[in-house]
Amino acid sequence: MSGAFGGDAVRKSKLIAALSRAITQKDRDHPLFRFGEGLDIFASDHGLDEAFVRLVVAILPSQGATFEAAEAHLLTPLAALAPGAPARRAVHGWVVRAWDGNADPLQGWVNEPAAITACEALIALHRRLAAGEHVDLAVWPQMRAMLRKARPADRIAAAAFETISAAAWDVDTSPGVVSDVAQSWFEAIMVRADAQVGWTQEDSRQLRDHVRDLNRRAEELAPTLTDVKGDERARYDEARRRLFAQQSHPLEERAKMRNQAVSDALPVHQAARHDALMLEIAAANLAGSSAVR
Amino acid sequence: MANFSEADDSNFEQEVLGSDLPVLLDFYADWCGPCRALLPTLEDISREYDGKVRIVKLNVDNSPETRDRFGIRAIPTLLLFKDGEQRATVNGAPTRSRIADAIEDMLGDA
Repeated sequence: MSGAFGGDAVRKSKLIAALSRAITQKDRDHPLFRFGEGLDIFASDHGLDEAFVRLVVAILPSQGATFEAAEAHLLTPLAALAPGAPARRAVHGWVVRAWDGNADPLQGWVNEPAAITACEALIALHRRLAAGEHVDLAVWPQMRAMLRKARPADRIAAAAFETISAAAWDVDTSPGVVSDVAQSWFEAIMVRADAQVGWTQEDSRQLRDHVRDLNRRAEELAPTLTDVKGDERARYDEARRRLFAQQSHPLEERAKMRNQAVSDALPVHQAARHDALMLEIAAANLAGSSAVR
Repeated sequence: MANFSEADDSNFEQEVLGSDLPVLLDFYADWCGPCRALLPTLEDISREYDGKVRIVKLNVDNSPETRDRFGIRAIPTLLLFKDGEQRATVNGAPTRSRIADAIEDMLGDA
């Protein structure tokens, strides 16, 4: 198996250094960040799995992007990550660090002993796998059965538990586990933010309907095509801006608080994911591509 | 690869509501990327609940009546049916463990 890194050790070493520099210095001019402009060639030239390179690049939070956009940006390369060494590294690294290896560990969100014990068992399994140990496939259904019996009742604890449970599948035979872990982790942050400000699904629905209504009224005042630019678009934008300024919704203030809670929490988790991946890259470099499991 | 049953407006009653086994119904469309991305997950779920739950797919473009009947506004959407009744919706990102939890809850119901 070639893993994420092919070619000789010197080339790998140079690539790791280039990746690290580009990401840690947030060098947006680096070819790595020009999505669709030769990234595939870059990956090929360096003997890398292209999906893995896209994942590494995507880990860098997009400048000026909303947290939803940043997460969506991440999910595309995650979905393209085929089973194999890169996916394995991401899952092992992320789930372990999600649980107890970051500034806001999920283990602090779970307060029921049975749930903690179940999560710890799965984390221990991932640590063994990360260390290169082989486990029988039969262990996964047993692990899932144990986790299901320990699901906590508390909403926030359940969201954290869900993130860890998402990794209770064999990465090699279950495409998408890495994406499941990332999505669940993000949703856990949203659930906690919602709970902090008492935000409900009904609140989301009401605010969404309000925005739709204002968009529709703006369209009536200044009909346009969505993608048109120029005067027509400017008139629509102005009509929309005035409507939103005049017709504020009582939920908007709390929605801002909720978004702020997410924005405050997300960088910690994004940093944890980034650190985890960089550590996995370093580990791959040290261990060589044949010893990735 | 699992071979899922396909339902449409003409056979929905028989395939889903009249099923002997509980049904996980996947509303999808051919052009929907996330729907295609969900397939490996459904295959895993199919293996996990073989003989306990049937997975049935329904193309929303070909079955507008059923789509509107259940108020489907986004895809993929997963609904769970048992004994001819809709019992649950899988909320949030359709991860393996979330779908499995919803199925377990349904199977555990009297």
